[in-house]
Amino acid sequence: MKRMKGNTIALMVASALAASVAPGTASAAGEVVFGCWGGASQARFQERMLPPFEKEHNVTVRYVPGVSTYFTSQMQAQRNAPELDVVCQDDGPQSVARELGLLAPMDETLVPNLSNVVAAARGAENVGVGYGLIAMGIVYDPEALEKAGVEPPKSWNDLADPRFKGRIVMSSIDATPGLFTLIMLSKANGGDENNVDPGFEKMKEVSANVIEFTKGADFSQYFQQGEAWVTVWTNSEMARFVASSGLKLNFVYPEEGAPIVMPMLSLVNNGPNRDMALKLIDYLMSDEMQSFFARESRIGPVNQNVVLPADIAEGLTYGEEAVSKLDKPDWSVINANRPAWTERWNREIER
Amino acid sequence: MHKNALTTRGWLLLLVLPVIALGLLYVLPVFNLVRISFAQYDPKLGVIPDYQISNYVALFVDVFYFEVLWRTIRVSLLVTLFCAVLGYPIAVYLIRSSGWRQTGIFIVLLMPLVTSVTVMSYGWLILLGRNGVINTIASGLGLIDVPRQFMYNETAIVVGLVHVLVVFMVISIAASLQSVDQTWVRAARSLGATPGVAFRAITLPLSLPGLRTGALLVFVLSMSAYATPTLLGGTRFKFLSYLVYQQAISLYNWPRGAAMAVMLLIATTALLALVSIYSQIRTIRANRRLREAQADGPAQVGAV
Repeated sequence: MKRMKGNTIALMVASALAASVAPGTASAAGEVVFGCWGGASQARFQERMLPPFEKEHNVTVRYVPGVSTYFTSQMQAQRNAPELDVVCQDDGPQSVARELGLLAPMDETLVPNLSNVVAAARGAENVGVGYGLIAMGIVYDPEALEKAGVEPPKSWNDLADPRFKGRIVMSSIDATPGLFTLIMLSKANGGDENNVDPGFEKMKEVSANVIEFTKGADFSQYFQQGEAWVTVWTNSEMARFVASSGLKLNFVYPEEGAPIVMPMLSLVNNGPNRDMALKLIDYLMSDEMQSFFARESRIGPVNQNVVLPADIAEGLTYGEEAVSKLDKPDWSVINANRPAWTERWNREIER
Repeated sequence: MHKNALTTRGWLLLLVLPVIALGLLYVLPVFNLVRISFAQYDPKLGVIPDYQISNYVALFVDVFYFEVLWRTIRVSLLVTLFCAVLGYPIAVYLIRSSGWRQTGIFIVLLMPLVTSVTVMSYGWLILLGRNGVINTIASGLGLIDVPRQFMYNETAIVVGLVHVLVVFMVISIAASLQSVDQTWVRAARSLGATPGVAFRAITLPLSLPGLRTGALLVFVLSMSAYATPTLLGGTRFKFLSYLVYQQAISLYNWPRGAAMAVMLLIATTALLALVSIYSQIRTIRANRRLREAQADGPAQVGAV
């Protein structure tokens, strides 16, 4: 009896070891590792988008859920032996990963569908590709504003107006909405990415209106509880929240411009299954999947062959003309200055 | 003799696994953390193994950093205090109850530990928010005109952390209360002590080790808390853990984040060491007094 117990334990240890080793060996054969968003996105990918691909190529897509910055950190830690093949990231963290040399370039010869992608969505130096177009703007609760007899916001500078005192929720500079608000306030007041002093000055006024700066960019509970009237959010996140909660919110493209936010797909440098990784990216850029993204994830398609019916296109950043009106932030300047801005933000804005 | 040698070897063998586990899961990561804290960060190259003390120098000249560190310590001490004050009566009640009532108290106490922090923070918003239950009741009773903001300040952090951590205090105190021999209490009562005096003279001193363990647990957990302070206190009232997160995850500067984490470790350990030294001194003094008392006359309640 005692001996059997010892054997059982040995067996358990062995199988645990085998299990921990297995994924590494499997990825060489029929597996491609895909790092992408968790939550509802993960369900959408795993249940509806990826199965046809897996069937067609007889491959398993191992889905690793996470957020953009997490994947950059992961790839940095696995620099010598990458585990991921393809990653989804927002354009900001993606540019950091690109500058760190963690991502590999790809062109039309490797990913044929890239030839249909609008120029704005192509990655710098052919590294990565945007798979959806999203605008960052001002979001407000029309009912709450009407009830309080307050005019809706029209511009970035309106965020500093006392009529929104204690009614704005905004992300910290750690998340993109806070960062972009700083940059757009700079641009609205005579500065830009290279001169953010006017942005910080204005941001101090905005801060007086802000109930709370959040770590992430999920503002749903603030609107559900009626805490906030106004926030800075993307049209896509707002649309998804509106669809799931039934609350009515409006999106404003501010007068001074709305910065573009792009979720991007990138090929990991020296990933274990490069061939399948390229096929996966090509698949997600296809007409069919691009329409799916527009319909289900509420993001504007980057594939110019995609034609959307009016009811689907409503509220999306759709077509090259719409894209050309958007403001494209300079990520390389942002990345270089972000640590200094964060220190300044900690001291001057959130203190 | 032979049998004894075998047991010694058995003991050593038993030790191997914990030592390996502790080494792999604790010593190695902490060593790695300390190592990285001396490395440098370059936006183009990542972490460079060029070991200097510059990360620490940058922290030591930073007033803002000390402001955050001081807030972390201050709030954690408050949390510990409130947990002790709240936890003691609960522990007393817990060991005096049995069956379903005891189980019920345990479930209530453990609930915050098994609930996701996001859900919990939403719960607090429903209670404390401007359209929350407390504001609605207060304005309904005519106590306030304009809804007040109870969230996003240090008070909210203390409330949230006490809610999560009080269970550690209760269990520690309950464990030491359980071992208090009730015959002493009865003896004291039979000699004319009121329940209050008996409690102060016997139960309370004997339960102090539990109170101390609970305080240490709560303090350490509070010092390193991340999610609760961030969600309830907001980013304007940063805990040190938030600065570590910001450096390591948002800015990819692991060395700077590691240096902050090491400083947090040192600050926590130093405070614990101070408390431990103080209690050692007290124990030595108490023992000396006891010996003197025993030398003076016949032994009294020796074990106390």
